[in-house]
Amino acid sequence: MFLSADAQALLAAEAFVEDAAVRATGCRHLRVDTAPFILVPLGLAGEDGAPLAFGWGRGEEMGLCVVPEPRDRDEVWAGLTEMARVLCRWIDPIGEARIAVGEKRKRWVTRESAQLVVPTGAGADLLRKLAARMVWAPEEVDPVVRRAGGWLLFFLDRHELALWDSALLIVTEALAMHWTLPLSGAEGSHLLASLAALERPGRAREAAQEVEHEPGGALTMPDFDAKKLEPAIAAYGGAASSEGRAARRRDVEDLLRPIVRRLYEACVSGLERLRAIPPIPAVLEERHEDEREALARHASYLREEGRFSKADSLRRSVFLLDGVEGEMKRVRSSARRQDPVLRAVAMCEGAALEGEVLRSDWVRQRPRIFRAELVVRVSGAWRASVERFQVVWEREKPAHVAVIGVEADGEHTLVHLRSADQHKQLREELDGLLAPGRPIALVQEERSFQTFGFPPEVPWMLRGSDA
Amino acid sequence: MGEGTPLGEVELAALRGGLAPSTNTARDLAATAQTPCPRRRALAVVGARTEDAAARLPGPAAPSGQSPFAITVGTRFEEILRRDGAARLREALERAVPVELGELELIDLDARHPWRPGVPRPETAAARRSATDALVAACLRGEAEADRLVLHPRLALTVTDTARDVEPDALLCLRAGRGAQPELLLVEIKAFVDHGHRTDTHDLASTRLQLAVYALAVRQQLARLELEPQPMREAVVVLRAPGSMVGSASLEEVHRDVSRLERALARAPATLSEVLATLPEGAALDDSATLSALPVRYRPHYCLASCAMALQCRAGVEEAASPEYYGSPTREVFAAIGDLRRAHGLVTGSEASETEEERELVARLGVLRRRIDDARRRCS
Ligand code: SF4
Repeated sequence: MFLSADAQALLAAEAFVEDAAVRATGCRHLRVDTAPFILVPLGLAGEDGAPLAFGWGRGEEMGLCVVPEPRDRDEVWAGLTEMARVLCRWIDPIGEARIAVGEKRKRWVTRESAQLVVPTGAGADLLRKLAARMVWAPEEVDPVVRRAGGWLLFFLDRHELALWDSALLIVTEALAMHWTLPLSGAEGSHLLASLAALERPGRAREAAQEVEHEPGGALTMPDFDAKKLEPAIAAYGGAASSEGRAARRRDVEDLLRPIVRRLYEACVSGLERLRAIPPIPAVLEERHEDEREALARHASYLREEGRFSKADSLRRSVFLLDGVEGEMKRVRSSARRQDPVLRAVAMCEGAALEGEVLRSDWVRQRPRIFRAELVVRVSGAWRASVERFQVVWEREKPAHVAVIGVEADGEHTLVHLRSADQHKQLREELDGLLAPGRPIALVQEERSFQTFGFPPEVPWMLRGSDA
Repeated sequence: MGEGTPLGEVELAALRGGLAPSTNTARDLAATAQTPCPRRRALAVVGARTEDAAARLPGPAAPSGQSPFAITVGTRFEEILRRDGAARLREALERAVPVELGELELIDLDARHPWRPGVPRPETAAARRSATDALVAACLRGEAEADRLVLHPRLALTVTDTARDVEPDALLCLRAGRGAQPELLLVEIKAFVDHGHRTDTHDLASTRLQLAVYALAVRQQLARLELEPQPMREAVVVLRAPGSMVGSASLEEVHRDVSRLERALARAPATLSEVLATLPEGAALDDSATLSALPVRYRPHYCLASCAMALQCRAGVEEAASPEYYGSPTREVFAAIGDLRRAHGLVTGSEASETEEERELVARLGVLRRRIDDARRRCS
């Protein structure tokens, strides 16, 4: 969402010509925990939302649970219970260990952050369908299933709403956010293909095509289903004794383990690649704390046996949108502030500017109140797409400037800017930062959905005047 | 030919040559609204199986076929809904249909006019068509004695110079529908799961387009029978309730899909004569050279998910370094250049622009390329 169509096309052409993945950002915009919880779900084809297997772990070791007959309700609940226990064993203690932070120690956040890693968007969709079923599990099912469903919804909802969220990390998405692959978006949703393309510069397309017929999403392949899985499931169903069933169950496990294992290992190696990119530090810290606060709140909600509705009420939707708007504002402006590549792309859209201060004057407005008037020289052509910008600098408090004029100057463009009113005390500090000859960078001030657009599925009645 | 009698099954079979006929005409025709690709549309128009066509094209074809689990669940679900006088289907319909459903008379055309091995198919097809015509006419003329649920009605459809039959899963013929007027409601059964607002939008969109094909056929039928036109704005889709074999029906708007389908069918190759005009005299589509000569429009998201020829077409655009390899937005940005290597050479300055379009592209994108490269250097 930060790359314009032109930038996407340029990087795509480069990736194609190099036959290699090329970096699409200058920095990493997601947090990658040291030992996140990796969950690999596999579903049965044609039975949308029927679990076949889960793989999980926090390092090299992978746990596996198989549902040998995903069309049998009891087997499904048994499989979900097993997965739920493991998930809650990881997340419950994190949710419960809380500390107070903030100036007045009024914000309760969890001591640690939690990160759930899922291989693909298809895997996340499958988990959402399962979670929706789990939170409404019948009374006779172990309550851990409802709680785990509630936890899964925490990660999935947050990811859907909070932009560039790190609580849930979908590996294919995270890779596509940081690299442009020599593959179309359709092929990039296959985890093994994406990773193969990343790992084989110079023959990335071929490497991706070699693995694309293996399961790389949340389903097994039709041929495998027909030749191996269906007979194995039928044999399990037809086993007469409990020993026979146990043996046939192991057969199904043996068939599925390598598939789940391969996806699990691909997650581990995708995370390694992401970790190697330097992150944008301040933003990650700030968002990290928001996440931990939300996590603590959700833990309390689950502890009090809070229920989940089947659809969001209008009131809740408005609250959620409000949260997303704030998150988008922060993410968009900090991504551009801290990532030179994204800023370069924004610059060509008139949403950022980089240049050198040519002149700066302080104009007195009222006693002790001044405004800076600057002329910034930009290399090449430039025009503003908005009026208000923020200065990119180390100071915590942002400075706002407005573009009041743009003129061409041979190979350069001169941009006339005016700052907001500043108190005299700040003037000296700013004087140094805005002195002629100094480099300066500005990014568009992000305000609301009205300036950066609504998420695609927001209904018209919630869009206000943008609709 | 566009003016003459539409081609029937015999002529279409000749055009298909050795290609196996497709088993689902409505799904084929729906595909014409989902892709602008002339080759895919030509195959849809003549009713040929794309898997068979893919096997005749050079290069490895995509592995074909559905998972046996998906096939079984589809058949089983329909069988369960139709069992015991379609009791479960009736239950589902009662919840979705906007009027009170009274006693429904069930008319199963598979039972009345079954496909028998000894009887020529056209004969059975004609019997099913006229039975459907009679039932629809009786309902709309107010002559029916009961509301009826017709399973597998058969409707004739003439589009793109061809006359073919389509068979929806069911048709509800209501004597007193909305506004107390007789009403026809098409019903389509799909085995995918109803997840409410999270139901797969792509699957639902394809289902609506398929219903749009049936709606067109009903319109033509009413015109042929000189009956009052019906709006056919909505139709019933029966999905599976999560974790069960219970039907979950809802009323879906299809009028926009009908317009979309009509627009798509009106685009080239709109008529069979246009398809034929692109082929050498007497050619059939089972010939690899003929198939390869038909132009393609590769769209990765559609093609890789829905067309058996996707790998061969991808190899073609990859070989040509066409921006179509990536789909949108790269395709649009480099539309004027048509070659990713050339485009890259131009914007990086390793190749000189020769045409006005190339100069424009360099003026627009060259500076962005330089700025990105600069920024990357600063990051490294
Ligand atoms: S795969 Fe090829 S033939 Fe099929 S729709 Fe796409 S471009 Fe057309």
